[in-house]
Amino acid sequence: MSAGSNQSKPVERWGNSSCPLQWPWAQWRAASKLKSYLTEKVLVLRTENLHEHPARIMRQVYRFLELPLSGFQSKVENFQVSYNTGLVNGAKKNSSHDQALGASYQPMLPETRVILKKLLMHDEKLKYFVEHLGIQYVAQDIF
Amino acid sequence: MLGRGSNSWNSILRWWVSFFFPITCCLVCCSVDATNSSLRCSSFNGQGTSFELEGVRFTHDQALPRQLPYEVECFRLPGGEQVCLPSWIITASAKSGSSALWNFLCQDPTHHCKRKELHYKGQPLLPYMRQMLGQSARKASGNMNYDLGQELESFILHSTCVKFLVLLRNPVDWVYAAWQFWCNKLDGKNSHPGGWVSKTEGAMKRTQRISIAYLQGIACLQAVISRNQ
Repeated sequence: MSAGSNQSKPVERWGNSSCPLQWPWAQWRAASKLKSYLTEKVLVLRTENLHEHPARIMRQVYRFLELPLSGFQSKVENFQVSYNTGLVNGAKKNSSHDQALGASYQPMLPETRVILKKLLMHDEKLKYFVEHLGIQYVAQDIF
Repeated sequence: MLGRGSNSWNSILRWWVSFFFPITCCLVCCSVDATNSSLRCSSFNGQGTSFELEGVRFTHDQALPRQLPYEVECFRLPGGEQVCLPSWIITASAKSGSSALWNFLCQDPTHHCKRKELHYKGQPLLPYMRQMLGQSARKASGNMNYDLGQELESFILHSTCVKFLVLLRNPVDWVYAAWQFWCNKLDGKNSHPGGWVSKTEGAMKRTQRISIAYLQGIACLQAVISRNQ
């Protein structure tokens, strides 16, 4: 394989998916593969966007699934409730935004983020996937 | 646990060690959610076409199971049995918001949601499809090995109707979330019984002087060894 082709396929270049540092990227690779196979039958969403803008994302989902927007309109207030806080029949019943996604959404220390970014080769890989999937950066990608 | 107020190198190292061991569970914990909608698949035009998978011939069949009050894409087997695909599938790693999206969608009564996840872990395809049919009047979904699985992918490639909603989370955030969820016992019921924390504390004592880069090397080395065994 030429150096040029290596550069054009960074996902393959990173190699072994059984390496723990590759695991967080597994779904990105799967999404990339699905998108290649199925193109218009796949809608790629960012969890961060669903968290921050649930109503806007749900409208996008309804349009993609060709569902009647009447179903969306009747629930739009629920979607506007910040992710899972359950104030108005949300998806789950949590008492605060901190608990909305459970402990999994607790913030980490900035130093830890920096280290994890380097260990995961975050910038290089994310740039490749974002371009390949045709999705956009979100605020949390830039830190 | 890495406390919010602590920013020492030791804490970071401790966090990484704590994360390193329990993350193994994540390989089999990624989820795929699926369900059926009550809507007709507008692009379905494959009636009578067939394909073979796992030695079984599947033939597109527009006749619907009587128990289903709505139309989905179905296949007829040689013995006359019918299996159906869901209308849409949510695929996402665990801790990526797939359950929230599913819950949002299932607030719409037309989706007939009942059960969120079926568990697909590479078992023979046909029983899984039968399971989907059994759930399809309400809700079908499954757990996957971080991927759809080759057989199910092949099956779905023959589908004209199934749509995929893929949720992707920033990997840095996902790593931390996965550790919080499975390893740090903050979500008690989901944490590993016996406690990863106690195990990793012991590991930490043995590796206090080992750098993060070394741990990274160990992780990858273990992966390479297991691959070659």
